[in-house]
Amino acid sequence: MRFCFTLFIRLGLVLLVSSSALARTAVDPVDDVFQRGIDAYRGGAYGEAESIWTSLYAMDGLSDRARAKLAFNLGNVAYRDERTNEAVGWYTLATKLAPRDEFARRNLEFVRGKAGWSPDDRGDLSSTFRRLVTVLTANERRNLLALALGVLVLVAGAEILFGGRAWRRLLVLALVFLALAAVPWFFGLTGRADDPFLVVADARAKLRSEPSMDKATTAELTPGEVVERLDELDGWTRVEASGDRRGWVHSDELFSLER
Amino acid sequence: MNRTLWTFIALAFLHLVCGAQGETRYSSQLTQGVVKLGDRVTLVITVENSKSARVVKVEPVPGLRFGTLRGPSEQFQQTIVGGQITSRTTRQWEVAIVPSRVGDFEIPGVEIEIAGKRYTTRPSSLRVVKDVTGATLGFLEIEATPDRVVEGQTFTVEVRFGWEEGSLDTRRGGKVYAELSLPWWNGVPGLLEAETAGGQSDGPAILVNQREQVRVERLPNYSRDGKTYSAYRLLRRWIPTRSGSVDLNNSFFEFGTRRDTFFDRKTVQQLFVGPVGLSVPVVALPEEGRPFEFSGAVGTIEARASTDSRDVMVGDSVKLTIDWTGSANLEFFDLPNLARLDEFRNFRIYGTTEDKRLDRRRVVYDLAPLDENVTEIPAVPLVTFDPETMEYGTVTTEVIPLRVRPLAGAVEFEEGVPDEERFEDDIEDLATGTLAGLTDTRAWLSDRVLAIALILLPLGLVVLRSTVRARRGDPSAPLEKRRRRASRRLKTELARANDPSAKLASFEEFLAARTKQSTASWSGRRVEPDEMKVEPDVATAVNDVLARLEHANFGAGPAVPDTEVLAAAERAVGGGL
Repeated sequence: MRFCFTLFIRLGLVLLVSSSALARTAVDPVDDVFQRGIDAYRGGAYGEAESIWTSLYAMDGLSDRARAKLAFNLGNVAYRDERTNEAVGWYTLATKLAPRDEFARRNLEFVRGKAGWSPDDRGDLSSTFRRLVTVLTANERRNLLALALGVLVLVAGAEILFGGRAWRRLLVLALVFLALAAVPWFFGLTGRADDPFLVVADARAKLRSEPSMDKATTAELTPGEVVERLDELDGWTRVEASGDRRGWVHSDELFSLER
Repeated sequence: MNRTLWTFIALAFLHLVCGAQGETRYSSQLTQGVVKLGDRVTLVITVENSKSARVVKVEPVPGLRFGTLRGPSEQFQQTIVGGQITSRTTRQWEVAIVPSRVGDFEIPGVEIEIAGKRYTTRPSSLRVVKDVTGATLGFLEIEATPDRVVEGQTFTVEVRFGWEEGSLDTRRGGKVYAELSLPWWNGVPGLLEAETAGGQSDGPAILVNQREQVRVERLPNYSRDGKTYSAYRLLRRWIPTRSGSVDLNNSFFEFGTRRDTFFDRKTVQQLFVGPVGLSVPVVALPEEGRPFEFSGAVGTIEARASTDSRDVMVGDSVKLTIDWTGSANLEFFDLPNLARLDEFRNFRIYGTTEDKRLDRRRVVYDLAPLDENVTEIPAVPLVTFDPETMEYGTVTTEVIPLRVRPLAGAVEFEEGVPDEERFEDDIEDLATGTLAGLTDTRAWLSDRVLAIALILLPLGLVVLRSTVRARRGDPSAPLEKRRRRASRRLKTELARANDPSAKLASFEEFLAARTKQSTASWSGRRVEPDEMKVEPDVATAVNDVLARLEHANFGAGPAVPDTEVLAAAERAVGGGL
């Protein structure tokens, strides 16, 4: 019995070592394609780099962190290609997918400044709060809340069984932890639009009552504003913005933040 | 005409933009501290450097008749020193006072409102006497050195006083006393008090203005007209802040003898010398030839510079110490700002520390050479005014040679180009590395499950807690704690027990704890399965151990091993006891 167990452990170790060695030597095709994009960018072929990374981005099975990296690089391509507003869109997407990526955040603020837009993080109380509650990804927020619930169950169970002042104090702390963990999760649930788009027009984008240039302008959208897509037709997107503004806008003036 | 107008407008603008008011000061002074009955004295209330001020109240004093408040009279003066305009405003009110009886009076401080805030001046003392006699037996002289000054120049006022030796009646315990009444002692508008050199701290203390004990300096005996006088002196240094004249008038010297009785002090002889006055003309600093960098230093000044090191690396700190000495207003002039001197462009100036003394002003500049081509610390100029020659001049320190070594491996900067022009901000470069190796954190639970758990779990826990509490009571109650700890305690007690009696007692204590009853109630008792809701075989096993322990204790039965007792206890706990 003992012999079998030892043999099993040894075989497992051999498999683990060999698989990691293989992993080190073999280059994943995805990485190979990604590298080709980098080579194209370094050679000044921004169009080619963009095409490679866009196709990679559309691939299934990529993690959010990988997509954040691609969005970051696509932002660099857009900026070098003098499409500053679109670069803002890509960096916004990158910070959404990887909220703690300081480089993406820095590039976002930089290109927003170049575009003449107000900073994303204005440094006021509201911006700081938003930054705090979005510092975790959606899954991390869920796990934090689950952890807080687990801690609450354990501490509450102990308090039910043993009672006493110490357990009661721990229970209060567990409840505080739960409340703190619930804030970013709740913010993530309520604060996100179903299909968010960033307005990347050079000037104010006109909202029209119907998808036609002949129709009346009912409102305007400010560059940098985030709106929600309601419908789409060829070249036109129907959106809803804050202040109950709804209408059709040229699709070229929008950048999807849900890719 | 146009030029005058423009000059006036420019001056008014400069006044608004960079004009500075001096420090606000207020005072109330009597024109003289000793007065003959029937004579009149004036209380002068002065407010300096305030845009708005008014006298709120002058308290009446019994025995003194106060006239109406007159004024204010206003004076305005503006000076430009070192490019900075300083304006001074002086407002004065006057109240005539006529004493109606002889005696010492204390006139309370006058309440003044300055820019909305209320202040009270220092009280003044007035001595009213029948007659002011005694000038032949004593003397009082007041002298200023120099006797003519310019604005900002320090001058010393010397008060000499004394009495003829042997002229005072010191029989029957009479003691000589001396007092001075100097209305200007605590300040005169347009004067700043400077630190006074020593000399009056070792002698006897006399009363000045009936309130302040001041030590005076004893002088050698003084001969005049064939008479010998005991002589003393007082010194005080001042700095005039405006041109015109400084009047130090109505000074009195009172002396005589007093005798201490059992109940009080009696004045035997009271003599006065005075009033004595002095006027010091203050000449304005000449506008002609006044350099823009004039520091406000007035007097004869010498400068000496030294450093803590003469061989440094680029960027190293060098302490440049400059001592300005001489007869001048050393405490008050503006220091040269090295950062504004072109000669120091190759230095970074970190800051200064300074030490002010009567005869010396020491300043330590913290510098750092920025370039290995620096070979010396340049001379530091100080623009001064010499009242003797009545000319502006520059006192400079000596140039100090300095060796500056380059930093090893240092990169040279582009000279003269600011960082903002040399550097440009840009985006962060591409993200590289692997894509395939990046994985995401997986969520343990979905949003829906979390939302349900967030609502139901706390509710469930509340219900569970209520149920458990209802059934078992408070788990932190002493009996419940005793019940939980019963098995552990039995193990400990058995290990300690040396005889059958102790073992029986510990097992009975265990049963009592588990059933939340008293230990005494378990003496000779057995576990009843129905009563205690215990399984019959468990009750039998426990009762068997209990009987054997009793037999071992009360009869001559064999001892029960601890393992068997513990096993019975474990069965009892597992069986629902």
